[in-house]
Amino acid sequence: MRKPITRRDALCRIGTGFGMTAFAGLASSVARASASTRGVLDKLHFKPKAKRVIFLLMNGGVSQVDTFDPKPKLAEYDGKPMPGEPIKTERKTGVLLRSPFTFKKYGESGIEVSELFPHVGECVDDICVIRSMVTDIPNHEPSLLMLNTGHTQLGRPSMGSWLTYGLGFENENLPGFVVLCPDQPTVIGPPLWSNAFLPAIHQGTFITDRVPKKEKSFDPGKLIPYLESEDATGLEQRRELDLLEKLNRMHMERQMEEDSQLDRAIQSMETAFRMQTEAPEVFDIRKETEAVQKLYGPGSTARGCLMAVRLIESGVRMVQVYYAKGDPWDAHFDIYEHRRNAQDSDQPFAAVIKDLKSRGLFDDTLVVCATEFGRTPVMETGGGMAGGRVVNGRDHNPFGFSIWLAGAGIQGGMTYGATDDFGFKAVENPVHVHDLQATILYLLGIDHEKLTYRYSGRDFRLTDVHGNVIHDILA
Amino acid sequence: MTSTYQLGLDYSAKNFEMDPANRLYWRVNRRRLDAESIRDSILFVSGALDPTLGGASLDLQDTKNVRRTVYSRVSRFRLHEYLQTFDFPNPNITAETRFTTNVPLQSLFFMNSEFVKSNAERLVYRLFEREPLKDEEVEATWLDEASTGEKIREAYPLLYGREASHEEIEAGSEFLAKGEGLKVWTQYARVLLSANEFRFIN
Repeated sequence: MRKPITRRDALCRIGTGFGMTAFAGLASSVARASASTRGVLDKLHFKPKAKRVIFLLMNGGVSQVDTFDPKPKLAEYDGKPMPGEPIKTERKTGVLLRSPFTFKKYGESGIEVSELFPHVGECVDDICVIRSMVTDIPNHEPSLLMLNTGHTQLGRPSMGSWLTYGLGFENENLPGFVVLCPDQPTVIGPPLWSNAFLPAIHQGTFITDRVPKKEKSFDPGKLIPYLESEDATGLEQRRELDLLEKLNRMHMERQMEEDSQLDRAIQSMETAFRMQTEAPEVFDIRKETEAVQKLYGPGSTARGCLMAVRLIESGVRMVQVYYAKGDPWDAHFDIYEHRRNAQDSDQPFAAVIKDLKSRGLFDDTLVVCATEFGRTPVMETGGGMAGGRVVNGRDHNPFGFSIWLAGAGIQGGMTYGATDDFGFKAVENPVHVHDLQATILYLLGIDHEKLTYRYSGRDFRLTDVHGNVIHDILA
Repeated sequence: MTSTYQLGLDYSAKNFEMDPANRLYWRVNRRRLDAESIRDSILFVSGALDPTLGGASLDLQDTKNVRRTVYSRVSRFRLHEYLQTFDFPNPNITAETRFTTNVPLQSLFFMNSEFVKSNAERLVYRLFEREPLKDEEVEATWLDEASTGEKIREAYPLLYGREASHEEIEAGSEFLAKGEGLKVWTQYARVLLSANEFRFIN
């Protein structure tokens, strides 16, 4: 039974203002080192397979029985109540609903993937599908927080923050952790890529990759707000920045003790200056050949995926690509909505794998394609916004869902774990989100139990006090 | 107001040794101004701020909007990039407290935004007690007449609530000497607005 969080606790843990003071108080050299772009781990715990991560997040809850977890029994029992004890999820559910999508075997491994993801299906020999994922709470906010920060409540550092904290920045002119989405993903937003109590430098940089309807063509300079200077040349800006830094350092000296907030603000000016030249270059997907652009296809997810590959190629440690704002995969009422989302995502996701290979990055880049929870094999009835009019959808399901991994250190062409006959609960080799996180860290050379940060009286880590590495899926 | 709430940021070696994280609140924590206060402060020191209370909200995109930021429209659908950049919370949910981030995008705002540039220019006009003119072709000969040091000394109390130090006047004068006219003064004013001291308060 989880102890309720008091308001005081929440305040202490959430505002990075409080957290920063705690950091400033630590006089250890470890703390000081982590305020720079060097990672806090001098030596990795394991030999790393991956150097960087592309995390494709299909936010909203993807239905496994309609995508990566075929259930023939579901078709057999279509329209009938599910045998056994009813399992309570977020909303009211009714009888079993068969998948309207057909599954097909792909590749040499013969893994079955639904018609929603044919391109990904073609790459199935490079992919490991985990069909027995489990999470704790059947709702978006806590589950997204769990997936990103290892805890169902606000106030913990995100995966990307832990990674840059531990491993450091490969390219100092770019942010170490980038989050791409056409708008603000879901109702949470910043806490999903927040550094929480880790030093401010480890916060994810959120960039919307939406092209406004007014713009005829795509302009990378417009992606990051305020990226271009109207009046000052590079040299003139440099002069301004030099004076600014001088004044800021004088100000810091007067404070008598180190303040990492101020220090970080000074550093971020420098990064911003360099970003002006480097970032548009990296974000400019128009620089890619037509062949590459065609590989990804059209649309915002495609742009995001291509950008992600370019970013990690330039040294960004982790890039997360959300599908869209809100909970786009959240098909409570009509499972056919999955088709539209899949149309936007399928080709780009496969392109990421293919493109990484052709750039020679596949073997040391980890690709994760996940969702925060799955969907029920039973249909959703009543309640919700549609008032029960449309009954062709599925409710949230934290008890069993599918994700896939590819790339560095991952054994391709395999499935791991299984759900019951109807695809509701994980029954074979359940994998909790913490286990996934432990495995991701392991592939990057980090022992998830050892990358910790002392805050508020105890050592925190991404996996909290849980998590086991799943060695069976590693090559 | 409690006595704790009224505490300042003064450093005490003894207290720092006992409680470096300031968990027992022997002083206030330095904090960054929130999005509204930053924009309001910039408008205030440049003299542009319209202090009218009440009335209909305005759009932040509108360059003629010089009212306090609390009077700006907040879109739940697409939060204005200025607000987003400075940690305005997601308007779709309640926010118990705001996150305070410290990222290059904020620096870019100070370096490159039209808002900061135009207010920096206004600040120059204010320091020299001139009415801002629309026409950029103006020679601004009055700039050469004034004493640089004197104007820097006037700027500091206005922006930071304190006297400028000797080093600061020197650094500023050196910067201004290497440039020309309204342009270099605007750049200098922009530096003053971008300084940590302007947005991190005690």
